[in-house]
Amino acid sequence: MQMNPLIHIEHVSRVIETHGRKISILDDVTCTIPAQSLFSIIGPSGSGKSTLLNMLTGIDRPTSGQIIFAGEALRAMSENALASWRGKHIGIVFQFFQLLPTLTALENVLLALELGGGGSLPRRAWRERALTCLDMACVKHLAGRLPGELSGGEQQRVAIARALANNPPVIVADEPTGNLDSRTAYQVFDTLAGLRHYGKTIIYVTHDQTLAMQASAGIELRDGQVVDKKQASILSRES
Amino acid sequence: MKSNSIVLRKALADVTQRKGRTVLVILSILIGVLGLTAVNIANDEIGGAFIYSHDQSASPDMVFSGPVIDPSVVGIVLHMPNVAKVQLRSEYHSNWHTTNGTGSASIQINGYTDLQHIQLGTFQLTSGRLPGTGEIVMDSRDSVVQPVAIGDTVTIDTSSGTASLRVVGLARTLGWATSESAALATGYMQAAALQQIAGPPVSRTKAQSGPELDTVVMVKVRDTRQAMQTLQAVEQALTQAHVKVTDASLHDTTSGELAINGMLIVIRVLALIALLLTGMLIINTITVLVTEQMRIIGTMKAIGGTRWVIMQG
Repeated sequence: MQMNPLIHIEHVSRVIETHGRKISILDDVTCTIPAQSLFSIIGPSGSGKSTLLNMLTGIDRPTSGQIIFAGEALRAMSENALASWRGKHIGIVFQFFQLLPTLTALENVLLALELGGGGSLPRRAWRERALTCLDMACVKHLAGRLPGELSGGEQQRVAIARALANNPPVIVADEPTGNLDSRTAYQVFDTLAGLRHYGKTIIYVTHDQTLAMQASAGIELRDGQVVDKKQASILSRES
Repeated sequence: MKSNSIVLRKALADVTQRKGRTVLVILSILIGVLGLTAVNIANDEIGGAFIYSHDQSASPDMVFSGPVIDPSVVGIVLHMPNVAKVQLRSEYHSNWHTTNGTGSASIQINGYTDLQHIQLGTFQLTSGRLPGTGEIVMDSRDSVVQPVAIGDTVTIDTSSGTASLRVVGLARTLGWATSESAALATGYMQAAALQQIAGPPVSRTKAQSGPELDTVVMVKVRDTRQAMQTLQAVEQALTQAHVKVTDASLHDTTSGELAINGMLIVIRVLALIALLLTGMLIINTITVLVTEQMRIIGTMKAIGGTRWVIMQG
């Protein structure tokens, strides 16, 4: 059974101009990302993986082509509208965690709730929601710690909890294990992959072939072009 | 007070949790602002004082001296060609007794009929008030000769002995720096009061010395290139008016103008350098602050922060 596509990437190209020279970062990329899939984007450095991820989250805009997210075209939205939309529909996990250093783990999650509108929850329920997210990422006991007091793996788990705060349908992760040792990397990846059990679509960029192989669907990029596609398969909630 | 807004709490935490950085930022901005203020004040005060000291606009181009000059000659000289301003004043050259009684210093006391409307040889009160009978205003630079303050008594030689004058004000003299010697003390009095202590003019021979009251006519010309012709014409007119001129001299007032222009250029260049330095300090501080927050701004935008909300944080 084929899964329903959540995101359509249609003939997306991205060209940048430096010193009067045009450089193609993405060249006519077309694919679909199924709902509730574990979708990998792999490829060597400079192949356009992060650029494509930035397009999916509305942080960057394509030079041509379009991205349709659950029937909604991102290019039609203003920068502020995109920021609000991102807060509600996408949770982002960065390679370098990007936690705010002066806020505790709990406050970092609460900040995402405040910026993203609180996932339709009343303000009084935010604290409980933030603690639940930290629990889902297995770092509830670290709620009162500042990022500087946490290890890399713990910080990335807090970042995952922050991405879950507004209960978005999609979690996007840009090399989420790239800054971790291999043991911690697999533990963090397992936490991330386990979010499918909560009905999330996980899109992640990685260099690691072992992690890429665990994806239910994905694409491989080289020089801005799709060179390989892995078809989506049915994933039961139990898997 | 605990804020409910995480964005505001983040802003507060940025300030309170990184005290060293906050202190440095505040210091940088304070130094910048204080630096700019200091440059402006220094520019105004030092520049103003310097310009006042070197301003030759109230210095005479020529001076005619005589034992007695009738005030009516002012009108005659004022209507002559190339004459811009005329001022009559009494000059009493005497000795100022030092406070420890061991000696005396030379002093010139200038007497004006109307102390509030002086055309040439102008002075400005820096403290105290204008003098009445038995009172004197001393130039601030007289302190170089010996310390003097308001309320002090100045004792000077007169033809009949000594006279004591109470200091009621301190003044600065316009154009002093280029026109007078620092070794000569200067005081200002009412002309009538000066006349009283000096006594009637006495004719004396060159061999005689002692306190001496002269009257001078000071003249400012319109065109200094024709100063010599004007000097001769005025001297001739004074003689025709039966005024005995014992001395007539030309004064060079162009050096003061050069000094002012030079000093103004120096002050402006220094002010410009200080402005650039303080400006760079402030811009650098703000740039560092913004650069430091760039990553955090990017993260906040990525997790749903709109421009307005991020500005609050």
